[in-house]
Amino acid sequence: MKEYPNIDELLNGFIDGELTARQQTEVQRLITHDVQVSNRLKELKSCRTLLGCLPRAEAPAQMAEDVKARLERRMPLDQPERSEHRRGTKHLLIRRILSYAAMIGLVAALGIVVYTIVAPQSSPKELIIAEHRQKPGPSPTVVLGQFKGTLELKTANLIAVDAFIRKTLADNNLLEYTGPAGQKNTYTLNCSREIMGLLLTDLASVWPRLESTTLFVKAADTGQDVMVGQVNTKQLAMIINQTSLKDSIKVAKDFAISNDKLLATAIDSAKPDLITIPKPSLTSNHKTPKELQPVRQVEDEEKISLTIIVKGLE
Amino acid sequence: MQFQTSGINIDEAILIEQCRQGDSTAMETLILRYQNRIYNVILKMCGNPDDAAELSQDTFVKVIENINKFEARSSFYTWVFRIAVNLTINHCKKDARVELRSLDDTDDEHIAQARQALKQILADDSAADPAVVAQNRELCDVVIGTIMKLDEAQKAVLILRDIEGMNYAQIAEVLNIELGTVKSRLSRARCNLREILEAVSQ
Repeated sequence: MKEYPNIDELLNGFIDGELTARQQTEVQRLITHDVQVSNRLKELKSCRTLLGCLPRAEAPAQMAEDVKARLERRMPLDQPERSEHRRGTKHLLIRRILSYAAMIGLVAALGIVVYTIVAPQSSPKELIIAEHRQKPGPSPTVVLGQFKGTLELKTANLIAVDAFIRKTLADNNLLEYTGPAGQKNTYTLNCSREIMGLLLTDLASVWPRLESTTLFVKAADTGQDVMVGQVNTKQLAMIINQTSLKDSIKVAKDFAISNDKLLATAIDSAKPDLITIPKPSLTSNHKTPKELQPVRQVEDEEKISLTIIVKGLE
Repeated sequence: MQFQTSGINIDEAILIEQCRQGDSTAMETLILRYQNRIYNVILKMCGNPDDAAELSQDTFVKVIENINKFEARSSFYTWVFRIAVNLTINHCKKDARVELRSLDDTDDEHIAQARQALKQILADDSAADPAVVAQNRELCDVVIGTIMKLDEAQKAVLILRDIEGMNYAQIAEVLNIELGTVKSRLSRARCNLREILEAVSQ
Protein backbone atom coordinates (compact mmCIF):
# COMPACT_ATOMS: atom_id res chain seq x y z
CA MET A 1 0.00 0.00 0.00
CA LYS A 2 2.97 2.26 0.66
CA GLU A 3 3.90 1.94 -3.01
CA TYR A 4 0.89 4.06 -3.90
CA PRO A 5 0.79 7.46 -2.20
CA ASN A 6 -2.52 8.19 -3.93
CA ILE A 7 -4.06 4.85 -3.20
CA ASP A 8 -7.30 6.47 -2.00
CA GLU A 9 -7.70 8.25 -5.34
CA LEU A 10 -7.06 5.01 -7.13
CA LEU A 11 -9.53 3.10 -4.98
CA ASN A 12 -12.17 5.79 -5.35
CA GLY A 13 -11.68 5.66 -9.10
CA PHE A 14 -12.11 1.90 -8.89
CA ILE A 15 -15.34 2.26 -6.92
CA ASP A 16 -16.68 4.85 -9.33
CA GLY A 17 -15.64 2.96 -12.45
CA GLU A 18 -13.37 5.79 -13.58
CA LEU A 19 -10.17 3.77 -14.06
CA THR A 20 -8.64 2.51 -17.25
CA ALA A 21 -8.60 -1.25 -17.83
CA ARG A 22 -4.94 -1.39 -16.85
CA GLN A 23 -5.52 0.56 -13.62
CA GLN A 24 -8.47 -1.68 -12.76
CA THR A 25 -6.34 -4.78 -13.20
CA GLU A 26 -3.69 -3.25 -10.99
CA VAL A 27 -6.19 -2.38 -8.26
CA GLN A 28 -7.71 -5.86 -8.40
CA ARG A 29 -4.24 -7.33 -8.00
CA LEU A 30 -3.62 -5.07 -5.00
CA ILE A 31 -6.94 -5.97 -3.40
CA THR A 32 -6.17 -9.66 -3.76
CA HIS A 33 -2.66 -9.47 -2.35
CA ASP A 34 -2.85 -6.61 0.14
CA VAL A 35 -5.29 -6.83 3.06
CA GLN A 36 -4.82 -3.17 3.95
CA VAL A 37 -5.85 -2.10 0.49
CA SER A 38 -8.79 -4.46 0.60
CA ASN A 39 -9.95 -3.04 3.96
CA ARG A 40 -9.51 0.53 2.75
CA LEU A 41 -11.60 -0.23 -0.30
CA LYS A 42 -14.39 -1.51 1.96
CA GLU A 43 -14.28 1.63 4.08
CA LEU A 44 -14.56 3.89 1.09
CA LYS A 45 -17.26 1.76 -0.45
CA SER A 46 -19.35 1.89 2.71
CA CYS A 47 -19.27 5.68 2.63
CA ARG A 48 -20.39 5.75 -0.95
CA THR A 49 -23.12 3.21 -0.30
CA LEU A 50 -24.35 5.16 2.70
CA LEU A 51 -24.69 8.35 0.70
CA GLY A 52 -26.30 6.47 -2.16
CA CYS A 53 -28.89 5.09 0.25
CA LEU A 54 -30.08 8.49 1.35
CA PRO A 55 -33.66 9.09 0.27
CA ARG A 56 -34.09 11.42 -2.70
CA ALA A 57 -36.04 14.46 -1.71
CA GLU A 58 -38.73 15.66 -4.07
CA ALA A 59 -39.23 19.26 -4.95
CA PRO A 60 -42.35 21.01 -3.66
CA ALA A 61 -45.28 20.30 -5.97
CA GLN A 62 -45.87 23.92 -6.86
CA MET A 63 -42.23 24.52 -7.85
CA ALA A 64 -42.93 24.99 -11.55
CA GLU A 65 -45.87 27.30 -10.83
CA ASP A 66 -43.82 29.36 -8.41
CA VAL A 67 -41.03 29.73 -10.94
CA LYS A 68 -43.50 30.76 -13.64
CA ALA A 69 -45.08 33.26 -11.27
CA ARG A 70 -41.71 34.77 -10.46
CA LEU A 71 -40.82 34.93 -14.13
CA GLU A 72 -44.14 36.60 -14.95
CA ARG A 73 -43.52 39.20 -12.31
CA ARG A 74 -40.27 40.01 -14.08
CA MET A 75 -41.53 39.66 -17.64
CA PRO A 76 -44.90 38.55 -19.04
CA LEU A 77 -44.67 35.15 -20.68
CA ASP A 78 -46.21 34.04 -23.98
CA GLN A 79 -45.81 37.53 -25.35
CA PRO A 80 -43.33 38.71 -27.88
CA GLU A 81 -42.46 41.61 -25.61
CA ARG A 82 -39.12 40.05 -24.80
CA SER A 83 -37.77 41.01 -28.18
CA GLU A 84 -39.58 44.35 -28.02
CA HIS A 85 -38.00 44.95 -24.66
CA ARG A 86 -34.64 44.22 -26.27
CA ARG A 87 -35.41 46.58 -29.12
CA GLY A 88 -36.39 49.22 -26.58
CA THR A 89 -33.13 48.72 -24.74
CA LYS A 90 -31.22 48.98 -28.00
CA HIS A 91 -33.09 52.12 -28.96
CA LEU A 92 -32.38 53.62 -25.55
CA LEU A 93 -28.72 52.76 -25.89
CA ILE A 94 -28.51 54.42 -29.31
CA ARG A 95 -30.24 57.51 -27.95
CA ARG A 96 -27.80 57.65 -25.07
CA ILE A 97 -24.82 57.33 -27.39
CA LEU A 98 -26.20 60.08 -29.64
CA SER A 99 -26.80 62.29 -26.61
CA TYR A 100 -23.23 61.76 -25.42
CA ALA A 101 -21.91 62.49 -28.92
CA ALA A 102 -23.96 65.70 -29.11
CA MET A 103 -22.71 66.75 -25.69
CA ILE A 104 -19.11 66.12 -26.70
CA GLY A 105 -19.68 68.13 -29.91
CA LEU A 106 -21.17 71.04 -27.96
CA VAL A 107 -18.33 71.03 -25.47
CA ALA A 108 -15.81 70.99 -28.33
CA ALA A 109 -17.55 73.92 -30.07
CA LEU A 110 -17.70 75.84 -26.80
CA GLY A 111 -14.04 75.10 -26.24
CA ILE A 112 -13.15 76.52 -29.65
CA VAL A 113 -15.18 79.66 -28.98
CA VAL A 114 -13.59 80.14 -25.57
CA TYR A 115 -10.14 79.51 -27.01
CA THR A 116 -10.75 82.05 -29.76
CA ILE A 117 -11.75 84.65 -27.18
CA VAL A 118 -9.27 83.90 -24.45
CA ALA A 119 -6.20 82.68 -26.32
CA PRO A 120 -3.53 85.34 -26.96
CA GLN A 121 -3.07 86.52 -30.51
CA SER A 122 0.00 85.25 -32.21
CA SER A 123 2.89 87.48 -31.13
CA PRO A 124 4.88 87.85 -34.38
CA LYS A 125 2.27 90.18 -35.88
CA GLU A 126 2.43 92.44 -32.84
CA LEU A 127 6.18 92.59 -32.90
CA ILE A 128 6.37 93.44 -36.56
CA ILE A 129 3.46 95.81 -36.55
CA ALA A 130 5.71 98.74 -35.61
CA GLU A 131 8.08 98.37 -38.47
CA HIS A 132 5.76 97.12 -41.19
CA ARG A 133 4.60 99.82 -43.45
CA GLN A 134 3.11 99.68 -46.83
CA LYS A 135 5.48 101.33 -49.20
CA PRO A 136 3.77 104.19 -50.91
CA GLY A 137 3.51 103.85 -54.62
CA PRO A 138 3.92 100.77 -56.78
CA SER A 139 5.65 97.93 -55.01
CA PRO A 140 8.44 96.16 -56.86
CA THR A 141 7.94 92.59 -58.08
CA VAL A 142 8.99 90.12 -55.45
CA VAL A 143 11.51 87.53 -56.46
CA LEU A 144 11.91 84.76 -53.94
CA GLY A 145 15.43 84.61 -52.61
CA GLN A 146 16.57 87.90 -54.19
CA PHE A 147 17.09 90.95 -52.05
CA LYS A 148 15.07 93.88 -53.27
CA GLY A 149 14.90 97.13 -51.41
CA THR A 150 14.44 100.86 -51.62
CA LEU A 151 16.64 103.31 -49.79
CA GLU A 152 15.00 106.67 -49.28
CA LEU A 153 17.38 109.48 -48.37
CA LYS A 154 16.07 112.89 -47.31
CA THR A 155 18.34 115.86 -47.12
CA ALA A 156 18.23 119.62 -46.86
CA ASN A 157 21.02 119.82 -49.47
CA LEU A 158 19.36 117.88 -52.24
CA ILE A 159 21.59 119.09 -55.08
CA ALA A 160 24.85 118.50 -53.25
CA VAL A 161 23.91 115.12 -51.91
CA ASP A 162 22.51 113.96 -55.24
CA ALA A 163 25.68 115.09 -56.97
CA PHE A 164 27.79 113.20 -54.45
CA ILE A 165 25.82 110.04 -54.95
CA ARG A 166 25.94 110.31 -58.72
CA LYS A 167 29.70 110.86 -58.53
CA THR A 168 30.20 107.88 -56.21
CA LEU A 169 28.19 105.68 -58.58
CA ALA A 170 30.24 106.89 -61.46
CA ASP A 171 33.49 106.26 -59.57
CA ASN A 172 32.34 102.70 -58.95
CA ASN A 173 31.37 102.22 -62.61
CA LEU A 174 27.82 101.71 -61.52
CA LEU A 175 26.13 104.66 -63.07
CA GLU A 176 25.84 103.04 -66.44
CA TYR A 177 24.27 99.95 -64.85
CA THR A 178 21.57 101.75 -62.99
CA GLY A 179 18.19 100.86 -64.32
CA PRO A 180 15.88 103.30 -65.99
CA ALA A 181 15.15 105.79 -63.30
CA GLY A 182 11.95 107.24 -64.64
CA GLN A 183 12.20 109.77 -61.89
CA LYS A 184 14.70 112.40 -61.07
CA ASN A 185 17.22 111.62 -58.27
CA THR A 186 16.35 107.95 -58.37
CA TYR A 187 18.93 105.21 -58.99
CA THR A 188 18.07 101.57 -59.37
CA LEU A 189 21.09 99.33 -58.88
CA ASN A 190 21.30 95.64 -59.83
CA CYS A 191 24.63 94.32 -58.68
CA SER A 192 26.35 91.82 -56.43
CA ARG A 193 26.41 92.09 -52.67
CA GLU A 194 30.12 92.65 -52.77
CA ILE A 195 29.88 95.67 -55.04
CA MET A 196 26.99 97.06 -53.04
CA GLY A 197 29.09 96.75 -49.91
CA LEU A 198 31.87 98.77 -51.45
CA LEU A 199 29.42 101.39 -52.65
CA LEU A 200 27.94 101.74 -49.19
CA THR A 201 31.40 102.23 -47.75
CA ASP A 202 31.93 105.09 -50.13
CA LEU A 203 28.52 106.55 -49.40
CA ALA A 204 29.11 106.55 -45.65
CA SER A 205 30.66 110.02 -45.81
CA VAL A 206 27.43 111.60 -47.04
CA TRP A 207 25.36 110.15 -44.19
CA PRO A 208 25.92 113.04 -41.78
CA ARG A 209 24.33 115.37 -44.32
CA LEU A 210 21.15 113.32 -44.48
CA GLU A 211 18.11 114.20 -42.41
CA SER A 212 16.54 110.78 -42.67
CA THR A 213 17.52 107.42 -44.15
CA THR A 214 14.84 104.83 -44.58
CA LEU A 215 15.19 101.36 -46.05
CA PHE A 216 12.22 99.40 -47.35
CA VAL A 217 12.83 95.69 -47.82
CA LYS A 218 10.28 93.57 -49.61
CA ALA A 219 9.35 90.49 -47.56
CA ALA A 220 8.49 87.71 -50.01
CA ASP A 221 6.51 85.65 -47.45
CA THR A 222 4.07 88.32 -46.31
CA GLY A 223 4.23 90.59 -49.32
CA GLN A 224 4.72 93.54 -46.99
CA ASP A 225 7.64 95.89 -46.69
CA VAL A 226 9.86 95.99 -43.66
CA MET A 227 10.73 99.60 -42.97
CA VAL A 228 13.99 100.37 -41.20
CA GLY A 229 14.18 103.97 -40.13
CA GLN A 230 17.44 105.87 -39.57
CA VAL A 231 19.43 103.10 -41.14
CA ASN A 232 23.17 103.62 -41.46
CA THR A 233 25.55 102.19 -44.03
CA LYS A 234 26.86 99.47 -41.73
CA GLN A 235 23.34 98.29 -41.03
CA LEU A 236 22.56 98.42 -44.73
CA ALA A 237 25.62 96.33 -45.49
CA MET A 238 24.67 93.83 -42.84
CA ILE A 239 21.10 93.52 -44.14
CA ILE A 240 22.28 93.10 -47.71
CA ASN A 241 25.09 90.67 -46.91
CA GLN A 242 22.85 88.01 -45.38
CA THR A 243 23.02 84.70 -47.23
CA SER A 244 19.27 84.57 -47.82
CA LEU A 245 16.42 86.99 -48.23
CA LYS A 246 14.79 85.51 -45.15
CA ASP A 247 17.82 86.35 -43.04
CA SER A 248 18.03 89.82 -44.58
CA ILE A 249 14.43 90.49 -43.58
CA LYS A 250 15.02 89.15 -40.11
CA VAL A 251 18.00 91.44 -39.61
CA ALA A 252 16.05 94.32 -41.10
CA LYS A 253 13.26 93.74 -38.59
CA ASP A 254 15.75 93.72 -35.76
CA PHE A 255 17.23 97.02 -36.92
CA ALA A 256 13.74 98.42 -37.39
CA ILE A 257 13.08 97.79 -33.74
CA SER A 258 16.47 98.89 -32.46
CA ASN A 259 16.41 102.09 -34.54
CA ASP A 260 12.98 103.03 -33.35
CA LYS A 261 13.84 104.66 -30.05
CA LEU A 262 10.36 104.62 -28.59
CA LEU A 263 9.78 101.01 -29.45
CA ALA A 264 13.23 99.97 -28.31
CA THR A 265 12.67 101.71 -24.97
CA ALA A 266 9.32 99.96 -24.57
CA ILE A 267 10.79 96.56 -25.39
CA ASP A 268 13.82 97.10 -23.19
CA SER A 269 11.60 97.88 -20.23
CA ALA A 270 9.30 94.93 -20.96
CA LYS A 271 11.95 92.40 -21.92
CA PRO A 272 15.32 93.09 -20.42
CA ASP A 273 16.65 89.83 -21.85
CA LEU A 274 16.00 90.80 -25.43
CA ILE A 275 18.67 89.45 -27.68
CA THR A 276 21.33 92.03 -28.36
CA ILE A 277 21.73 92.69 -32.01
CA PRO A 278 25.36 92.39 -32.95
CA LYS A 279 26.95 95.35 -34.57
CA PRO A 280 26.98 95.05 -38.30
CA SER A 281 30.31 94.53 -39.95
CA LEU A 282 31.25 94.52 -43.54
CA THR A 283 32.46 91.20 -44.71
CA SER A 284 33.52 92.11 -48.18
CA ASN A 285 37.16 92.47 -49.17
CA HIS A 286 38.10 95.88 -50.32
CA LYS A 287 38.65 95.47 -53.98
CA THR A 288 38.67 98.52 -56.10
CA PRO A 289 35.82 98.86 -58.55
CA LYS A 290 38.29 98.60 -61.41
CA GLU A 291 39.22 95.08 -60.37
CA LEU A 292 35.62 94.01 -60.30
CA GLN A 293 33.94 92.04 -62.99
CA PRO A 294 31.10 93.68 -64.83
CA VAL A 295 27.80 93.50 -63.02
CA ARG A 296 26.20 91.51 -65.81
CA GLN A 297 28.52 88.60 -65.03
CA VAL A 298 27.05 88.22 -61.56
CA GLU A 299 24.85 85.18 -61.18
CA ASP A 300 21.20 86.01 -61.04
CA GLU A 301 20.67 84.45 -57.65
CA GLU A 302 23.51 86.51 -56.17
CA LYS A 303 22.18 89.78 -57.55
CA ILE A 304 20.53 92.29 -55.32
CA SER A 305 18.37 95.20 -56.29
CA LEU A 306 18.50 98.49 -54.44
CA THR A 307 16.73 101.65 -55.49
CA ILE A 308 18.16 104.81 -54.02
CA ILE A 309 15.80 107.77 -53.92
CA VAL A 310 17.22 111.14 -52.94
CA LYS A 311 14.62 113.63 -51.73
CA GLY A 312 14.71 117.11 -50.48
CA LEU A 313 12.88 118.22 -47.35
CA GLU A 314 9.31 119.29 -47.99
CA MET B 1 -36.17 8.25 -14.20
CA GLN B 2 -33.25 8.23 -16.62
CA PHE B 3 -32.13 11.39 -18.36
CA GLN B 4 -29.69 11.88 -21.09
CA THR B 5 -26.90 13.55 -19.24
CA SER B 6 -24.37 14.26 -21.93
CA GLY B 7 -25.03 16.51 -24.85
CA ILE B 8 -28.52 17.65 -25.77
CA ASN B 9 -31.09 15.34 -27.23
CA ILE B 10 -33.44 16.58 -29.91
CA ASP B 11 -36.39 16.81 -27.54
CA GLU B 12 -34.42 18.96 -25.14
CA ALA B 13 -33.06 21.14 -27.91
CA ILE B 14 -36.62 21.81 -29.09
CA LEU B 15 -37.71 22.65 -25.55
CA ILE B 16 -34.80 25.04 -25.15
CA GLU B 17 -35.63 26.76 -28.42
CA GLN B 18 -39.29 27.05 -27.41
CA CYS B 19 -38.21 28.52 -24.09
CA ARG B 20 -36.19 31.11 -25.97
CA GLN B 21 -39.32 32.05 -27.86
CA GLY B 22 -41.07 32.60 -24.54
CA ASP B 23 -43.15 29.40 -24.59
CA SER B 24 -44.31 28.91 -20.99
CA THR B 25 -45.32 25.29 -21.58
CA ALA B 26 -41.81 24.41 -22.68
CA MET B 27 -40.44 26.21 -19.64
CA GLU B 28 -42.69 24.21 -17.38
CA THR B 29 -41.65 20.97 -19.05
CA LEU B 30 -37.98 21.76 -18.52
CA ILE B 31 -38.59 22.71 -14.90
CA LEU B 32 -40.53 19.56 -14.20
CA ARG B 33 -37.81 17.52 -15.86
CA TYR B 34 -35.08 18.82 -13.56
CA GLN B 35 -36.78 20.12 -10.45
CA ASN B 36 -36.49 17.02 -8.25
CA ARG B 37 -32.83 16.43 -9.04
CA ILE B 38 -31.95 20.06 -8.56
CA TYR B 39 -33.93 20.32 -5.35
CA ASN B 40 -32.40 17.11 -3.98
CA VAL B 41 -28.83 18.22 -4.63
CA ILE B 42 -29.44 21.68 -3.21
CA LEU B 43 -31.13 20.25 -0.13
CA LYS B 44 -28.22 17.92 0.54
CA MET B 45 -25.83 20.83 0.17
CA CYS B 46 -27.64 23.41 2.29
CA GLY B 47 -29.59 21.11 4.62
CA ASN B 48 -32.66 23.36 4.86
CA PRO B 49 -35.84 22.48 2.87
CA ASP B 50 -37.07 26.08 2.70
CA ASP B 51 -33.72 27.36 1.52
CA ALA B 52 -33.52 24.47 -0.93
CA ALA B 53 -36.93 25.35 -2.38
CA GLU B 54 -35.99 29.01 -2.68
CA LEU B 55 -32.64 28.22 -4.25
CA SER B 56 -34.27 25.79 -6.68
CA GLN B 57 -36.66 28.50 -7.80
CA ASP B 58 -33.76 30.93 -8.14
CA THR B 59 -31.97 28.36 -10.26
CA PHE B 60 -34.84 27.92 -12.69
CA VAL B 61 -35.53 31.64 -12.90
CA LYS B 62 -31.88 32.19 -13.75
CA VAL B 63 -31.94 29.32 -16.24
CA ILE B 64 -34.95 30.74 -18.10
CA GLU B 65 -33.66 34.31 -18.00
CA ASN B 66 -30.28 33.28 -19.34
CA ILE B 67 -31.37 30.57 -21.71
CA ASN B 68 -30.40 32.79 -24.65
CA LYS B 69 -26.84 32.72 -23.37
CA PHE B 70 -26.73 28.92 -23.34
CA GLU B 71 -24.50 28.06 -26.29
CA ALA B 72 -24.69 24.26 -26.01
CA ARG B 73 -20.93 24.02 -25.54
CA SER B 74 -21.70 21.95 -22.44
CA SER B 75 -24.76 19.82 -21.91
CA PHE B 76 -27.89 21.56 -20.71
CA TYR B 77 -27.91 19.19 -17.76
CA THR B 78 -24.49 20.28 -16.49
CA TRP B 79 -25.28 23.93 -17.30
CA VAL B 80 -28.38 23.83 -15.09
CA PHE B 81 -26.48 22.11 -12.30
CA ARG B 82 -23.65 24.61 -12.53
CA ILE B 83 -26.12 27.41 -11.89
CA ALA B 84 -27.72 25.50 -9.02
CA VAL B 85 -24.43 24.57 -7.35
CA ASN B 86 -22.99 28.07 -7.69
CA LEU B 87 -26.11 29.64 -6.20
CA THR B 88 -26.08 27.14 -3.34
CA ILE B 89 -22.39 27.53 -2.56
CA ASN B 90 -22.78 31.31 -2.50
CA HIS B 91 -25.82 30.99 -0.28
CA CYS B 92 -24.04 28.63 2.11
CA LYS B 93 -21.04 30.95 2.32
CA LYS B 94 -23.25 33.94 3.06
CA ASP B 95 -25.60 32.21 5.43
CA ALA B 96 -23.81 29.54 7.40
CA ARG B 97 -26.84 28.68 9.51
CA VAL B 98 -27.80 25.08 8.94
CA GLU B 99 -30.81 23.77 10.67
CA LEU B 100 -29.89 20.31 11.72
CA ARG B 101 -30.68 18.23 14.64
CA SER B 102 -27.69 18.19 16.89
CA LEU B 103 -26.25 14.76 17.32
CA ASP B 104 -25.20 15.44 20.86
CA ASP B 105 -28.08 17.32 22.39
CA THR B 106 -30.30 14.34 23.00
CA ASP B 107 -30.02 10.84 24.29
CA ASP B 108 -33.09 9.86 22.42
CA GLU B 109 -33.47 6.15 21.85
CA HIS B 110 -33.82 6.71 18.09
CA ILE B 111 -30.52 8.53 17.92
CA ALA B 112 -28.84 5.72 19.77
CA GLN B 113 -30.32 3.26 17.31
CA ALA B 114 -29.17 5.39 14.41
CA ARG B 115 -25.65 5.46 15.76
CA GLN B 116 -25.71 1.73 16.15
CA ALA B 117 -26.93 1.24 12.61
CA LEU B 118 -24.24 3.58 11.35
CA LYS B 119 -21.59 1.64 13.22
CA GLN B 120 -22.72 -1.58 11.59
CA ILE B 121 -22.73 -0.07 8.13
CA LEU B 122 -19.27 1.35 8.58
CA ALA B 123 -18.00 -1.98 9.83
CA ASP B 124 -19.61 -4.00 7.07
CA ASP B 125 -20.55 -2.51 3.74
CA SER B 126 -23.07 -5.27 3.07
CA ALA B 127 -25.13 -4.06 6.08
CA ALA B 128 -26.17 -0.94 4.14
CA ASP B 129 -29.54 -1.83 2.71
CA PRO B 130 -30.82 1.23 0.84
CA ALA B 131 -34.42 0.56 1.85
CA VAL B 132 -33.54 0.22 5.51
CA VAL B 133 -31.31 3.29 5.52
CA ALA B 134 -33.98 5.37 3.78
CA GLN B 135 -36.57 4.38 6.40
CA ASN B 136 -34.26 5.25 9.27
CA ARG B 137 -34.82 9.00 9.38
CA GLU B 138 -32.47 9.53 12.27
CA LEU B 139 -29.70 7.72 10.42
CA CYS B 140 -30.29 9.86 7.38
CA ASP B 141 -30.13 12.99 9.51
CA VAL B 142 -26.86 11.83 11.02
CA VAL B 143 -25.35 11.24 7.57
CA ILE B 144 -26.63 14.53 6.20
CA GLY B 145 -25.33 16.31 9.29
CA THR B 146 -21.95 14.75 8.64
CA ILE B 147 -21.95 15.96 5.06
CA MET B 148 -22.64 19.47 6.36
CA LYS B 149 -19.41 19.35 8.32
CA LEU B 150 -17.38 19.14 5.11
CA ASP B 151 -16.21 22.28 3.40
CA GLU B 152 -18.26 23.54 0.45
CA ALA B 153 -15.89 22.33 -2.24
CA GLN B 154 -15.66 18.77 -0.92
CA LYS B 155 -19.37 18.70 -0.18
CA ALA B 156 -20.26 19.66 -3.76
CA VAL B 157 -18.04 16.99 -5.31
CA LEU B 158 -19.30 14.31 -2.96
CA ILE B 159 -22.98 15.11 -3.50
CA LEU B 160 -22.68 15.39 -7.28
CA ARG B 161 -20.90 12.04 -7.39
CA ASP B 162 -22.57 9.90 -4.71
CA ILE B 163 -26.05 11.42 -4.61
CA GLU B 164 -26.59 12.83 -8.10
CA GLY B 165 -24.48 10.12 -9.72
CA MET B 166 -22.47 12.29 -12.07
CA ASN B 167 -19.26 11.00 -13.56
CA TYR B 168 -15.97 12.79 -12.94
CA ALA B 169 -16.06 14.67 -16.27
CA GLN B 170 -19.51 16.04 -15.56
CA ILE B 171 -18.49 17.12 -12.06
CA ALA B 172 -15.46 18.89 -13.52
CA GLU B 173 -17.77 20.68 -15.98
CA VAL B 174 -20.31 21.69 -13.35
CA LEU B 175 -17.72 22.97 -10.90
CA ASN B 176 -15.44 24.30 -13.65
CA ILE B 177 -12.41 22.50 -12.25
CA GLU B 178 -9.83 20.07 -13.62
CA LEU B 179 -10.48 16.34 -13.67
CA GLY B 180 -7.48 15.77 -11.40
CA THR B 181 -8.97 18.21 -8.91
CA VAL B 182 -12.21 16.25 -8.92
CA LYS B 183 -10.32 13.05 -8.11
CA SER B 184 -8.26 14.51 -5.29
CA ARG B 185 -11.17 16.49 -3.86
CA LEU B 186 -13.47 13.45 -3.91
CA SER B 187 -10.78 11.32 -2.28
CA ARG B 188 -10.32 13.83 0.54
CA ALA B 189 -14.08 14.25 0.91
CA ARG B 190 -14.71 10.52 1.33
CA CYS B 191 -11.78 10.18 3.69
CA ASN B 192 -13.01 13.08 5.86
CA LEU B 193 -16.58 11.84 5.76
CA ARG B 194 -15.47 8.42 6.92
CA GLU B 195 -13.55 9.91 9.83
CA ILE B 196 -16.47 12.09 10.92
CA LEU B 197 -18.95 9.23 10.61
CA GLU B 198 -16.71 6.98 12.72
CA ALA B 199 -16.47 9.70 15.34
CA VAL B 200 -20.24 10.20 15.36
CA SER B 201 -20.98 6.49 15.58
CA GLN B 202 -18.92 6.08 18.76
